[in-house]
Amino acid sequence: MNGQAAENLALYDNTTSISRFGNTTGDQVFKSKFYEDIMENLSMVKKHENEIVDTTYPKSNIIDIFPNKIPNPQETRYSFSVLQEWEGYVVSIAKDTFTARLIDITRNCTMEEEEADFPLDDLDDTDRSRISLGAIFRWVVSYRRSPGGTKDRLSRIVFRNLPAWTAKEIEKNRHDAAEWAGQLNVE
Amino acid sequence: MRIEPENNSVSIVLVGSLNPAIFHPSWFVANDLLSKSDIESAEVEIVHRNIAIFKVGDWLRIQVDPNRFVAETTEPPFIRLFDIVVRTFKEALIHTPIIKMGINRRVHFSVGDEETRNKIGMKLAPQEVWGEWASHIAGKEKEKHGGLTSLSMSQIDLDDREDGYITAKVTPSKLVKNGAGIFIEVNDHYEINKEDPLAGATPIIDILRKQFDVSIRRSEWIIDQIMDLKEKV
Repeated sequence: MNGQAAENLALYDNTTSISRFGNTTGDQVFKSKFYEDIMENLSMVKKHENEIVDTTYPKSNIIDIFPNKIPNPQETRYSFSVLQEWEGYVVSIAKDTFTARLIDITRNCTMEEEEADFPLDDLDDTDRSRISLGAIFRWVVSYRRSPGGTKDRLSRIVFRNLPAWTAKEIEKNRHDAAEWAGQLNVE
Repeated sequence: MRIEPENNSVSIVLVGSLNPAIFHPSWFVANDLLSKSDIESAEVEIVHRNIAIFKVGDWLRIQVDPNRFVAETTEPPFIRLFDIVVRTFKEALIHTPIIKMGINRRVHFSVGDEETRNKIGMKLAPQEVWGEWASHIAGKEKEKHGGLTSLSMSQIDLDDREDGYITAKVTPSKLVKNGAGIFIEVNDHYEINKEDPLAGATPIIDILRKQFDVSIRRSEWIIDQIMDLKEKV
């Protein structure tokens, strides 16, 4: 292994979003290295451009593809600050509203203690088509701050997009449930 | 957190072996990971075999290179980020080898004025220990004073993981105006035993499912300790 390769491998160690290989923080230090590689690849592609069909992008020149400055994720238009957050599940759905039981996430509660009605109009189109009895969602009340400093209060409901249960997980849950049931002392 | 952040985000970083070229918003829609309405607000910066970057509205930014997957959000509820990462690597990319993960919480906040921020900097890293150089750090002019630029603190004795650490990094914030801002990033880092190369993404994703909420709460608690210094300097 040459020195550069060893150095590259060693860099794949942490997980901050700062983009040092191996780190898991979230920044983008190594982007330029990738761009250099891509530039090199693209110059190869240009030599054979009649043979290649680009299905990802419309034809564009290299300057268009590689902006001088990539916006940092921290530089988004608005910033948000959570005031209160609940997790809820739907217990009934009427014509214009739905009812849900809520767990207060902000206070680290684990049991639902509240029930509330929400207008269906508060949901975005995707969530409105997804709503069903038992569906789990998060309800967040937050401040939204603009770069100019103006602040407004937002209430937002977002339905969870949870992974499907695998056959193995269902089997394990059945096994655990049977075991717990066996431990119950029913007279 | 006792001070309302001026800017904050959550990111999940996975380290392993990835194919950036597939990470296009259309692929996420085809795999039912994003909705068709999400794709309307998607902005692709680049999708190439070496790097892919796109964002969906303000709630999701994804960046992938051959060894790193980064998903970041600035918009609550942060659990949406968790959901899409878990589904991506539990359903669509279950065999992708992933060996490390970071759950990162980043916050910029204001302590009111530059003087208070500088006092916090002095508290975190006293300048007297730099000996004779200390008097030079302060500078002759107020506008040219030096001071703490970056400080990292790590915890490695952790019961909830085989291998990993928690590192908090504090720097002055470039986003908060009037020199009154502090930036903190907490990197909650997990590694798995590399003896099972066929395990794919499952071991790390199982850790993510177990730890995400705990990690975010703990990171905010760590950040809160630094916020508390505002009242103590």
